[in-house]
Amino acid sequence: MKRIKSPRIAAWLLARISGPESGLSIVGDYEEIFQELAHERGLIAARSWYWSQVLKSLPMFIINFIFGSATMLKNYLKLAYRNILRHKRYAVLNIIGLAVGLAACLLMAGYVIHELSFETMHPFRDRVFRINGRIPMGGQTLLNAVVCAPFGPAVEESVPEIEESVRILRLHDVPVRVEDRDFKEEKMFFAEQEILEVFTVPLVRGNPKTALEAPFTVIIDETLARKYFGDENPYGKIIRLTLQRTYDFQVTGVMKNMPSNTVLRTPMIASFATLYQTHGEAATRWVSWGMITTFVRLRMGADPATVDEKITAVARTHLDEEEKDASYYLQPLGRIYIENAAYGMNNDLDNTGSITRLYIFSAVALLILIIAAINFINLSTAKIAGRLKEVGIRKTCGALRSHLIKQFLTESVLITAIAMGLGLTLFSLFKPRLDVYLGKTLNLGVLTTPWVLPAVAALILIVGFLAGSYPAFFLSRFPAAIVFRYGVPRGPSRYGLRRVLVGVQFFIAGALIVSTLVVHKQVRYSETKDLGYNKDNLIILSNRNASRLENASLVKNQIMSRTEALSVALVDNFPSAGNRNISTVRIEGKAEKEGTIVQSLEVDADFIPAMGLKMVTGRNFEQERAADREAVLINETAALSFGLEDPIGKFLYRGNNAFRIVGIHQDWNTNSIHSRIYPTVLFPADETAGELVVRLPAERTQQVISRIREVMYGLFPEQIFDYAYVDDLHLRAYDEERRLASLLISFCQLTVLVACLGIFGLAAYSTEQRTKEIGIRKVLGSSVAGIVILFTRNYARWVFVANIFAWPVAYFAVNKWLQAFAFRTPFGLLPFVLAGLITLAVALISVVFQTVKAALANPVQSLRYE
Amino acid sequence: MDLLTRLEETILVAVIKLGDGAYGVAINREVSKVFGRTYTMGGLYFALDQLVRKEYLMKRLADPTPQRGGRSKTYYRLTPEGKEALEATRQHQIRLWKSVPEFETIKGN
Repeated sequence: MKRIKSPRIAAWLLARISGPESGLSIVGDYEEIFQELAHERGLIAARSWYWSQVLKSLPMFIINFIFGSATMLKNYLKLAYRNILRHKRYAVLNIIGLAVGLAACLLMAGYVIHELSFETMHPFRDRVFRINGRIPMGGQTLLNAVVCAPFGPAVEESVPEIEESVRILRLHDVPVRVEDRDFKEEKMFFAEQEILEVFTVPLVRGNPKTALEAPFTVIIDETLARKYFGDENPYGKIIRLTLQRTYDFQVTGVMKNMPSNTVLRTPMIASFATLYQTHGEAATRWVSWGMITTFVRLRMGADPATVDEKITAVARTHLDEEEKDASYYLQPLGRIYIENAAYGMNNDLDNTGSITRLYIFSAVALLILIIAAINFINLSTAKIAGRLKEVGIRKTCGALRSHLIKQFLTESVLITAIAMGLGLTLFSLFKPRLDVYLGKTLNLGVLTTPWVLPAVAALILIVGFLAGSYPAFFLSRFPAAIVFRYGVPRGPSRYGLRRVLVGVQFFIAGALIVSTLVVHKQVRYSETKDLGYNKDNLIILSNRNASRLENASLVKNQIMSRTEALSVALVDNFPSAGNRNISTVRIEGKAEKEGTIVQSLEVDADFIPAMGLKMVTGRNFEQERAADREAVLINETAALSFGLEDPIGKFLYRGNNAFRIVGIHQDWNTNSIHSRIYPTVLFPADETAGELVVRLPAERTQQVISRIREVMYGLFPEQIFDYAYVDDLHLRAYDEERRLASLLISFCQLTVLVACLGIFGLAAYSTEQRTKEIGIRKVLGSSVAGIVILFTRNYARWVFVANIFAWPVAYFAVNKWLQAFAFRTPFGLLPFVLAGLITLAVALISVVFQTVKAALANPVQSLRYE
Repeated sequence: MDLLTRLEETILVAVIKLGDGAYGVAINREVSKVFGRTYTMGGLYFALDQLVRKEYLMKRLADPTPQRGGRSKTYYRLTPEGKEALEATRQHQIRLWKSVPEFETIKGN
């Protein structure tokens, strides 16, 4: 019978996995059947049989291998266990360091995965897009996440690719009254019925087909249902919301709490139909800017790239002539969360995530893991010398190199597994703290999240193998004779590698410390910077009341005369956090086609003194002067950017109205210090002003506030009292940075701790190795101090070098981060010097402690045996 | 002594039946015939090795043959323990079925 060649790769694989003992005869068996098949049914059938047999048998062969080597495995485990017990200190250092690293890494991985998992719960996410606008204004193009109300239905009707559109209006800080209790909801939506179909919004009560059809209906989530109605069934109940006026809404549904990984997260959705009644004409007018978030779902297979042009074309047929330069485009639902912060999107749905933050967090987590793994490698290689005799004896007794490799790997995997156990405990302990930092609950638990346990198992194997491979492969290399005769082989590990690794650790630690200090400093700076006005005891009061017409000064006078408020001013469009009101003005004597963009707010004569602003030139508004109805104040930046010689007395135009500039006030930070100060124009407020700025006395502020509340209720019993401290509004803008700072601080502590453990173990080991040297030095007359200095110098030098490398990297990184702020704290040299001192001190304490102990020992002890 | 599983029992019987010719391919063929479906070699080897570990089977390497690409066969033979285990399993089976004589009669009719 002629022999036919069998698949060589498959045969090799088979021989490998079935082990050296029976491998050959198994391959032989396969070969025999293969030959038979090849003759009967041809080569192809035989080959495919061979391969499929090998692949199908793989799992069984692996199980067989484990069963077969169970005895040896047991032996390895026993040896590993004994070794751990014998070198308790190293084991503990290793385990703690690794546990901390792994826990940090898991936490960060959980966070990063959460951030990347946005919108995955919506089944149509690949076909859902948001319509964004590109609006040219004053020479720049502003991106806008909202469009006007008629946009959605118009494109749904005339663009064939669009299957469905959903319109959403988002409101913030909405006062709610349920029976006689008042609440304030940070966020709510008005949305069309389709939101329940296009997105995943599961209702636990109510009909998902009709819940949002009628005007003045609302669905709330389970948390709100409990908050408002306790255990009662909320369906059909009435809640009262204050928009510009106060309206009654009927609860027509209860939805599950939305998960934290969607930009649509909101506790309350009212029907969009309501807006036609409350906003009337505004809800049907075509404008380029708008205020409605509009999602569209495309038909299956539609190409989103072609839709951009079509929707822009539709919009241009409706827009006024001067707005026709606006264009529109689709943004995929899945990108909204992660992208927008980077693009400077206006009117976005969520305080959006940032890819930068993801990078920072992943990098930090990875760095900690690297530091921990370095510790592991360092400590294991440090032990090499001590274990060479063991290796020699094992080899003499007949151990193969592969046995030794397996033994060392088993040992390091075992240590990693123990560390992982501890790490998971730490993870569970710190998870709630991470949630607090991030301001959201990550849906992540050791047992409840399916990917965690496999990931943990994979991590144990990978880290265990990586950390153990160096000593395993290095140690097992030498023949027994060499080991016994020459002792420690001069491998690369002896000093060079370990020092470099320690250097890397302190490089990371140093860079992290510098970054943390600077971030912390910038946060402090943000919170305490002089903003140009006095923000203490200043509250902003909403005056959206039932009859908003012609009563602003009535409210103002009542508060002034009946409470102890120090000053009260009328204002409209008061800026907060990310919101600023923008107007286009033209300036007298400047022939500009487009006009200039300025920030605008409407104020009365009391605004400047109430805020504690200072005038530079000119005068403030005067209450009695009727001519001041057509006067404006500008800030210094505006005065500069208008480029007028003497702005006082000049006119500027908003729309068709002319205003005379009567004064220039000092610049103040209207918004957070992320942004520069805009040219700002204060227009005169009229009786429709929607807000009041009230300066409270420094003492008994709470009483004064409740007094104001009484006055407001006296005037408008139906209206919900709604106020906020300007200070709080200001601080809220830095939540993100504050979180980053506190996370960085925790991570910094961890890094330093782990690095410290590493150098501590290393120093302990190397002093132990050099006990005899110390003894001889002492006999020859060296002083304790001399020995300590000799031993410490080396470490100090490496830490110092590490810092030198860390500084420029940290400088570059923090500078990049600081770009997000228009106003940056000067940070000088101090953070760098501090980082250097901290790392040096930590390293020296760890080392000196060890060395002093060794140096103080009586040389008789250390030299006795030779 | 633990009772054998059905597969183990079948393998042991096949080894007895094949006598001096009991090696991987032949055993697999025998077992597959009994069960009416083809076993993967991997599954078979796992069971064989388990039996060797339990010391019910002994294995012996034979000289290489050319049609196997110069690889030797591993022959299997029953040990006394293996014989005992097989016998115990058989006895158990007989006792078990004796306890339900109706079944025999129903089937007989």
